Amino acid sequence: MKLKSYIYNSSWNEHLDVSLDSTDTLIIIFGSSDLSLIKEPLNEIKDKFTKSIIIGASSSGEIFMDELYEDTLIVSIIKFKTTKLKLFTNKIKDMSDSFNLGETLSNKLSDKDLKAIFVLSDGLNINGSQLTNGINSKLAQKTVVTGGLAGDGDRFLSTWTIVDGEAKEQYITAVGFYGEDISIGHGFNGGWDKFGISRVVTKSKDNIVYEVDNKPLLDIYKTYLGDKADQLPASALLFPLELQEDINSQEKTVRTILGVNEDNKSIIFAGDIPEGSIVSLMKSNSNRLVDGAYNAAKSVDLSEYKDEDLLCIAISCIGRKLVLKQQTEDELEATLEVLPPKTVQIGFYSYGEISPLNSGACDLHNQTMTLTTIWERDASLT
Amino acid sequence: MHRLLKRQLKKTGAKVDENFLKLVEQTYIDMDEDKKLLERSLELSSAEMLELYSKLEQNAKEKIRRSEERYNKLIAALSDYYFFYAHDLNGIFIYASKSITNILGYSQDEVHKHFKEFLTDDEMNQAAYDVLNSSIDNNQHPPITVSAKHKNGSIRYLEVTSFPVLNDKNEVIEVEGIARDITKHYLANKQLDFISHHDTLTNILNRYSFYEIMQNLIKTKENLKFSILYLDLDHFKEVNDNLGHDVGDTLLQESVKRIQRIIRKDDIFARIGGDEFVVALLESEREHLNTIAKKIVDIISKEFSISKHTINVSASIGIAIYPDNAVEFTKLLKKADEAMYYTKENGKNNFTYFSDILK
Repeated sequence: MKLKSYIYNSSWNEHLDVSLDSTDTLIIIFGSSDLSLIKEPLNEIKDKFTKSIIIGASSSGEIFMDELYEDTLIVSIIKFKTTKLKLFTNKIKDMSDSFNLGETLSNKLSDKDLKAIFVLSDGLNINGSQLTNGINSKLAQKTVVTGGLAGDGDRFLSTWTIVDGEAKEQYITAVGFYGEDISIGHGFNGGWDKFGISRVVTKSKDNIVYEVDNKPLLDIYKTYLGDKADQLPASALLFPLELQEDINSQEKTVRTILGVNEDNKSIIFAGDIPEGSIVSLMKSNSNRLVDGAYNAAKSVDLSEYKDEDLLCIAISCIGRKLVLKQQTEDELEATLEVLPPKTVQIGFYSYGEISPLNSGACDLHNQTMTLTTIWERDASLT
Repeated sequence: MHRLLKRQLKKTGAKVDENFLKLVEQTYIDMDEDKKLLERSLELSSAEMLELYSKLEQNAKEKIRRSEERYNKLIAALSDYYFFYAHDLNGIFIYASKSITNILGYSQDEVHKHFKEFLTDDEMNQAAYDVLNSSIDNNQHPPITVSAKHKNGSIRYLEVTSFPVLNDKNEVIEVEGIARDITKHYLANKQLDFISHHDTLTNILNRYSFYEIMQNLIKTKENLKFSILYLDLDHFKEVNDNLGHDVGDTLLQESVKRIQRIIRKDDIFARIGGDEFVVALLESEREHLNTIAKKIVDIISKEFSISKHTINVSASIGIAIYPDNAVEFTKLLKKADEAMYYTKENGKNNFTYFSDILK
């Protein structure tokens, strides 16, 4: 596998290696949600890499090695030796379509040689937990599914994914990896802790929560945020929700806010929050989040790795960036400290992360650092 | 500029790059904001927790109040029939509910004594002591019936359920219990039991109980020897016909009283027909049997004076011996009956052994 990574920040950091263009080449792009800033380099890639499969998503901050960038374009070009690729793209008609889209995605990419799927979806018009449920319903559990939801800074207005080389709204894209030599590792961790009282969800529909303990959830958020309430929905990311679907359930997930509706005082989350479930506010600090990123890297299985070129795609939640602020790059350094020296890290700050649970089934995560490592086995290395 | 940063620059007189200064200032601002948000959230969540705690506390108090109210109502409703008690591991009462006064006549202050002090000498209480003591050793047991002394000297029957009270190390620290006054029920049952086993006219055993007792005896006792005296009153029919049933009934009662003066308490005496009685004696020595049978014949032949009538009757007795004459009880009884008929046919007012008829 040949790997080259680039950053476009008003100009390319180096010339694009066009010789990498092939049908077995994957180009992964993360960039500013402001299309006017990245249209030019995007078109250049589309024109120069006509055979390659291109996927990508808008971000709330681009990751290149251990550095954070804003309003740039990050590109990794991977030319595989034996691994085969298959692209899936589909329009999202409606948020309620999320489960079906997940099913279709799995059906289209399923094959006996399928090893892993990397998914990038529009970040605002999707119900992430229903999407992952749909994917799981049609997929063998050994298939690794990772990915994330596109971001839009802290604005929550418009996101894009790459479709036919162009940035488009309301699309879900995915690439399937096939063959014996491809290795896809994964790991995720949060670093958030619940605080205060637990509350019962008394009125909700899918991923929209109206009331907890018979009070509007939005009012509770506004009380906690104080003068930061005027920065909603972004400021709500400082207090994500811990979700426990019922009192006896051991599995606890984190839900992050995608939007608010002042008219009916509801909050839209990246995944479902059923009525009757128990939620608590969560908080964190820089140290806990950096530890979380470090632990995410520690949890990646690299036992088969033999010094090959390795790409790590770091997808971290916008909520972490809002807490870490100037210390955001601490968590990018933390992952690279753990991963092998040959690692090239790219990635983006997102509106939701997708990674397998312990059971093997993939799930939507929020407020986590999620890592996907890609390398192709090289027989010459022992 | 951030106050602290401004002061630090002034104190040190440092010349710092403007861009670097901006980043440092932003860090100061971020930290202030983070601190403010954290303090706010701590304050709010503490207030919410206190509110929740006070709500839960209030709910718990209300629950306890209602539960106590229900308990008191229950106690009041049951106060004529139940009392609750607790005793220590030595068996000394430490508490009895007020209703003990309704049931046993003692006030709550008078109960601080060993539970034995409240029980009669009735044999039934011996089993009760064992059970009550076993509660002290943390054993569960079904309700038991005890015979208790009322302060006024009368007897009350109580159904007692006791259960051990444990501490957090699972050790018994005291015994609590509920006592239910079952006196009426107990006495009624006792009477019912007596009626079903006794002849209502003479109060001695009836035919059914006699069979039951004897068959049970044969089944359970080895090397058993006993004799049956089968007795019929001669001329009884004439008394009944001439003087009426009332006189006849009184004659039967008086005859029973006379026979009871002769037999022992342990002998089994029953009325098995209109004027037919049996006595089972736990021995088979002829000499002794002769004495008893003769005494009965003699005492019955003495004049009766009933309702100003002078009545003369006699007794015919047949005697069969177990196991010599029969090993099966019904057959044995039949043989005693045959011997009795033999006496009747041979002059009455006498007794005959079954074994002598055969000779």
